[in-house]
Amino acid sequence: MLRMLGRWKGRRPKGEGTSVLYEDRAREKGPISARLEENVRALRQRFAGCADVVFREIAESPRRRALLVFIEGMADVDQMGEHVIRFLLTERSRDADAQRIMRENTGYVPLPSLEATDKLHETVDQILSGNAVLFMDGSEEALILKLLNAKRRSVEEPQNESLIRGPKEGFTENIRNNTALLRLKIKSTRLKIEQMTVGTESRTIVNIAYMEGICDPRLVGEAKRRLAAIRIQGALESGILEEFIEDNKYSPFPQLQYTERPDIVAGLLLEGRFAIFVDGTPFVLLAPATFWQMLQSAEDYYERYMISTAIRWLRFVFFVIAMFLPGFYVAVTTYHHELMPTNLELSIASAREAIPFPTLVEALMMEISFEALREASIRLPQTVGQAVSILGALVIGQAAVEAGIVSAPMVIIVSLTGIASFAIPKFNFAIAVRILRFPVLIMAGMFGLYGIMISLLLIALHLAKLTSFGIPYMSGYVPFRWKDFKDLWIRAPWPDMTAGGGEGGGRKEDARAQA
Amino acid sequence: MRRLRFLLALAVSAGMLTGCWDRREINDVAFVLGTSLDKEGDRLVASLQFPLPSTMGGAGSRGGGGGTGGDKPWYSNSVIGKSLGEIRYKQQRSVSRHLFLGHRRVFLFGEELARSGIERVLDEVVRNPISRLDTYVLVTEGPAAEMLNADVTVEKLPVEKIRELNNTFMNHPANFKYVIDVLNSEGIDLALPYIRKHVRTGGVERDQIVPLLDSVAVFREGRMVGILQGYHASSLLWMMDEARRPLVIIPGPTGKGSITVQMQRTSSSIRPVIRGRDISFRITLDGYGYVMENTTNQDLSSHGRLEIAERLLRGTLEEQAKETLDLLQREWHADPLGLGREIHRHAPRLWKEIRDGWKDIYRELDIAVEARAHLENTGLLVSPAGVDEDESEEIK
Repeated sequence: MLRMLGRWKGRRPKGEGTSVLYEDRAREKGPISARLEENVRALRQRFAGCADVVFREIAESPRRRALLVFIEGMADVDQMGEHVIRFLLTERSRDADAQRIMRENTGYVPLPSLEATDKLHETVDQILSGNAVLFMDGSEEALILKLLNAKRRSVEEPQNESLIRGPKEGFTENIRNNTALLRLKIKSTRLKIEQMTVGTESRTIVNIAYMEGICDPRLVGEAKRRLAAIRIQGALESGILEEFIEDNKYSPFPQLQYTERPDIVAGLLLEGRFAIFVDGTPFVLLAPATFWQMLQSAEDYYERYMISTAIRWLRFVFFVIAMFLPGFYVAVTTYHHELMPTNLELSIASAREAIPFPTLVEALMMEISFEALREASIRLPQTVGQAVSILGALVIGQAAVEAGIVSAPMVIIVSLTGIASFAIPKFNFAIAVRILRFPVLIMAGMFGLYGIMISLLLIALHLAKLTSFGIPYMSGYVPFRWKDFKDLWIRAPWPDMTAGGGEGGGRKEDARAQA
Repeated sequence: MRRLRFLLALAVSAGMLTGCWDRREINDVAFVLGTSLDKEGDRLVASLQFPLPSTMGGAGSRGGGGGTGGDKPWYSNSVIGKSLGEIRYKQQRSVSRHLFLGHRRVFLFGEELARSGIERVLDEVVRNPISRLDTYVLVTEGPAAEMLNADVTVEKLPVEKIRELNNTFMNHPANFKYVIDVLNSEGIDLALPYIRKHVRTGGVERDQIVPLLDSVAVFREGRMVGILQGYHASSLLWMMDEARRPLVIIPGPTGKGSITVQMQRTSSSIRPVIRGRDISFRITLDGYGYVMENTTNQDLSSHGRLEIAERLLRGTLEEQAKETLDLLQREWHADPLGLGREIHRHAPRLWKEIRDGWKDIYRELDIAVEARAHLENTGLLVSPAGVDEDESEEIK
């Protein structure tokens, strides 16, 4: 068995070597020719087999022809007809020299955004990005017409992060739209948005947003360095980037927060964090993230502070329950009979009397079926999902108890644990907790409370060691800072929270002070 | 990766370790809730009682279980042996489940055993780490095993009933910790609650034994020497500061009827008065009560009458205490109040001198009892029916 593991381990470095990327001839660099035919040939060769690319030739005059290249459905055809083709067919254009039109483009083409280029590979990139490119006979330059108008979802309320009180808008798949939503929240020149491209094939636009003077520039530098080092064909979702840039990829705990809410991004930027926007996904990454953030919700800051503090404590309690309750139950009922109050022990004993399985097996069985039930109802369409949950509730909750296969206390423990894990606001963190519950359960089944203590120690050690972009995951507690009390253990009233000094100062773990 | 591999190997090998697991499923454990110990000649008879989970009516608890209890929800058996260790072994061999003493709540001594001394059987109880020291210890009238099968209708198990009775009898019901503490101390003797057999008649079934807890067994040097009943018992408990809402019945001043007072908060203090080698004690009884019943023809609500009744109450209390102390001092030479220990604490040097002759000193000790109990109200909202005001006699 161990030899098998070793072989599996040995193969990994080899795998890295084989991930040689497909060399694309389309990205070969080259200049634009003054002869239109040559450009057409070069482009047609590169776009061979791409049915969605449109080559629109315009015969301006018998001696000069122009060519518009764009991808159908991405570039705005209406504007193209109105402002470009129409202009090309005017007297003014016909009389002008092609070189001159390119060089003094703004004087000729009535569009808000356009630029000239003399590199053929750049025109290819721009066409793929949804812009139109205008070539003209006799010019060694081409005109990039920023006409991107791909159909995208409009701004909606984020379904996965719903609040009772707070803004209802959420990010979409369009990165420009997303940065605009952020800019609407923070109207400051200190809000910097830097652009990068990730993915050799997807050429995904990635933006890093941060507040200058609040966020540590070394953090931003490190983020850019890690993003630039990514070697991947398609960066289709921010989750893919997340795994490339996180500090410890072997940890079950998420080291970056994600959100679809502009208000969360704005709030965290003001605390000195940075955000990574990825085109094509509404999920924005936020770092550095801490353990405490995972147990907080945006609503904590909008709702009255007493309520928020109480709910925060509730989450701490339920975090512990979600991780340790099944293990604790197994440990107490199989090893430490003296720990339980006599009457409780007796009623558990009477419920367990006819159960054929050991408590540990019973617990594992129920926990696994609960996870399956949860997973099944997420993936299914809503109408079918309801049927699944009814089935689950009836079959597992009632029939199994009545049939004497599972004891009623175990059902209570499992459902309480399930509810507890749903009380954790961050889904990916809740999953980490749910997964860790199983090793804890098995340890408890093998060693009793001793096993629970060992797993608690291991988890605590791991959490204490974990970092997110160099910031300790347990910041505020490890290392302990009394100042952070007002936004870790409680949620202080806003006037007290900002009293620490300046914009976002004194709020949470100040990234500046840490890095 | 190397670390991951190491941890994985560790986890796998830990899982393969069998034989050293002390896992014990709850279905394989019998939770002994009460045991009893009697004497038969020079041998011991021990009984134990544990509930049968299958008949406890929990959800999904159909089938399984069994035992000799018939339709009763508990199982009990008796084993004879020379020592508790031997008995424990025999008991375990006669029950298919692991006998778990961690939840034992009640330990009963039969009267015969108690009279012959309980010290020698305590060793096993204290030595066994799983046996808990907060198990209540009581003495029963007649064989204790009988009491384990006494009639209970309200509670699930007889031991549960005894435990609940004990909870309302004393402030800090006597447990093993108390017993061991007292037996290991100088100048104090044991006093344990004593369950009497009350025979219920007139039921549908044959006459049944019903446990009744209103008495105290008094010990001297680990041997039971006497039983305090009625107001003697409650007087002793009050002096020990263990009384829970005692009732005091004051005889009517003119010989007709009586006034019953329900005490609510009671406390006591025991103070040694030491002048040279001359030792005496002052015991103060404090408390608040209200009139629960008045069968005399006195109207307590008229001016000044309550004060008079209070004076009567104090007199009664002092008299009862004197009687009780008389029994303890002269009759049984037992010192459950720990007067000797008080001297030990207040004047350790003096105690060293008088320790050997303490028994004789105790017998003749001068103990002054002062009752400071208060009557707070007549407990009435309106005048009682049937009392003729005109007939009420003046008392002074």
